[in-house]
Amino acid sequence: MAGTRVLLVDDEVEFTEALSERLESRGLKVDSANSGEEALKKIGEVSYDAIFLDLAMPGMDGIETLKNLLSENPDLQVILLTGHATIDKSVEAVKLGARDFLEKPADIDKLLAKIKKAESEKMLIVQKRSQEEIQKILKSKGW
Amino acid sequence: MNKRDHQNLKAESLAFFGSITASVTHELTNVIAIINELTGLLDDMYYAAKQGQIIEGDRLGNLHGRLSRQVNRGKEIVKRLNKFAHSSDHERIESDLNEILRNLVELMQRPADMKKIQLNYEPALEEFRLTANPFELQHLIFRCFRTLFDSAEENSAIKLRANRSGDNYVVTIDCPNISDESPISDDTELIRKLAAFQGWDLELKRDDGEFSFILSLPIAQM
Repeated sequence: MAGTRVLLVDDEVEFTEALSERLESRGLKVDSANSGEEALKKIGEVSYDAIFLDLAMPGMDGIETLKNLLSENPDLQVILLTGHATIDKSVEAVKLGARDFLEKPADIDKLLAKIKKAESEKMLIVQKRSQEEIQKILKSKGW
Repeated sequence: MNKRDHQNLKAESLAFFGSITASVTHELTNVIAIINELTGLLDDMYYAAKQGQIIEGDRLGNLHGRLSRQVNRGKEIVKRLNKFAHSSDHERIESDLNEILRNLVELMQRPADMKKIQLNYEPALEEFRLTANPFELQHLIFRCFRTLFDSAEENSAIKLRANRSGDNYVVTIDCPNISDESPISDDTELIRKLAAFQGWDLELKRDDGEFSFILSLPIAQM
């Protein structure tokens, strides 16, 4: 997973710092955002393979952030990292387009497995889009 | 107050207890999550050392500091919850009013932060000994805070203070930036009932963009 890009979105700075360090030591490239607004800015600058998003944040909460992130880019692979452990919120988030959820504190191996899955799903989406583009071009040229 | 009202108030008290506990468990989960990651870093260093890598003392020292910080944070959170839990031990007891209010404000910091509202407490300069129901006092003030959280603009500063006026302690909660046209939530009816049931006098004041709850607590209450 060397070079895999991950965004951590959580208002707990100590948490994102510690988790970033662990993921970076495993070869991933990690950015952090401590608010929904910051996360929206970051996705405009970088293409992430996976985004971990906390449900409870001041101001723009996790659900609101999720809606805004996906409205910018519906193909984003967003995984909720929640301390709430409320099924309702997690189900609501998955219905809104989150790919998965994990309960805090999360096991690093489970996190890495989710990142790998997200990366594969993103690749599939990119491949599909490329194929669709190619088909479009072929059609337009009458080939 | 009839039996139904009484039962409703009991249910609201339970909901208050649940709300505070839920908020504290979320705070503690964050602390545990951070400790989990920091001990994970320690694990990573241990395996690196086993493979012959030299781990700098400063790195270990830094990790130790971060872990200690979170442990102390967790201890403070548990202390607060414990004080709060024990406030329901007695229906009437003599307590330090400043202590009750300080603890409640600390418990409410997280919900206030979620709404991007600043919560400030101005303790009285002298000790205020009050004989009352400490749990229901916190319940009532909690409802006042929640009402204001719903109506106040982001970045507002809610101020809580207590002073003495004759035979009463007066607890005032002020919130600026609430326009005179802003609706105030339906909880005010419940807040009035809570105050009346405890024999406390409650005034709601709205003036020129500021909203206040003014609660008068008789110092000696039978």
